[in-house]
Amino acid sequence: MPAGRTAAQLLAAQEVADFDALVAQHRARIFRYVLASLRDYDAAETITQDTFIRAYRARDGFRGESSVGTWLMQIAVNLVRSHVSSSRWRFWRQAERSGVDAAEAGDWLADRGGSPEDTAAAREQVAAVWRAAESLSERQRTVFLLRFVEDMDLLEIAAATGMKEGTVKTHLFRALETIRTQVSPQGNENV
Amino acid sequence: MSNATHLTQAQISGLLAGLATSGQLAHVAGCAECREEIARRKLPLEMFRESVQARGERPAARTITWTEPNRWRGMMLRWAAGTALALLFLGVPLMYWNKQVHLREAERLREDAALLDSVNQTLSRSVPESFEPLDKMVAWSPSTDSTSGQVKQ
Repeated sequence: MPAGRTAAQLLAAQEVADFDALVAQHRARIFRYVLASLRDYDAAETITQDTFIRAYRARDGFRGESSVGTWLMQIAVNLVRSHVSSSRWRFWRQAERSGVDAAEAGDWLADRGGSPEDTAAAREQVAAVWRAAESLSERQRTVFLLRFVEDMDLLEIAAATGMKEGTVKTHLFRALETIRTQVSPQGNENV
Repeated sequence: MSNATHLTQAQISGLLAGLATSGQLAHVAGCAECREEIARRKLPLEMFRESVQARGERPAARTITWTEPNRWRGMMLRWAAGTALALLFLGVPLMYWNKQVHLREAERLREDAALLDSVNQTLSRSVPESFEPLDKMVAWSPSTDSTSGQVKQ
């Protein structure tokens, strides 16, 4: 074992070495995050591709300090961030041809087996969360998506975004408060 | 925190964001009503995750296939770009230098032609240049042989 490297770091380095397998394993997750961030299919596909191209080029420099998933997400977060800043929020406008419609996003929800009214209400809530996410700042949206879509823990989010853990918590709290004011949970009007 | 004082909605947001105090966590552990409220708050977020995951698992509208970047092609492109730049930086001064050479050559040819004319003129003279006025005076007299200087009889 090379000096100074843990078994976990070596495993991570091995994972990076088999790049085809790495793409197959992480592609859907990266695409999901980028799509939810930008709400644009074409941009999500392009940035997902770019994420892996950048990772491939930087693979020799990957030392396994974080998990491969966190490393890839860090690249994706940076790409999304620069994309958003370069396009000046253009991708959050409904005018985008390949943009995700919030109502359409509600249709992606699997049938939960309830009454038609419950299903309609659930879809409306999903659409409302999509719309609420639209109003979040870029940093709030990033931590919100990483926490509640990708199920990353706070330390992983901090590593992927380059924020301190406390900052992640603050952004997450503000995001949740914004979403709370715009989304009424099923059967609860007193939110 | 007593069971009578339930978490506010903002406190639930804080709890979901990892900002809960130990007192709040202890309260939630013993309060079914707050746990139920937290579950209600989580439900739209879980459905949102489901919807995003469902879309992420669908085939992409444009198939993304991972192909390793062709290092040779990249290297050749870099070489081509480098060569083009080198040609540009070397070619422009070379063209300028070449033009100057042609101008100097043309100038030299003109000088050579002028020198040749001068030589031809010199060679075609019957007497050296310094004698020309005298020669003309002699040639002007009708009774003088311009070649011998003797008076014709």
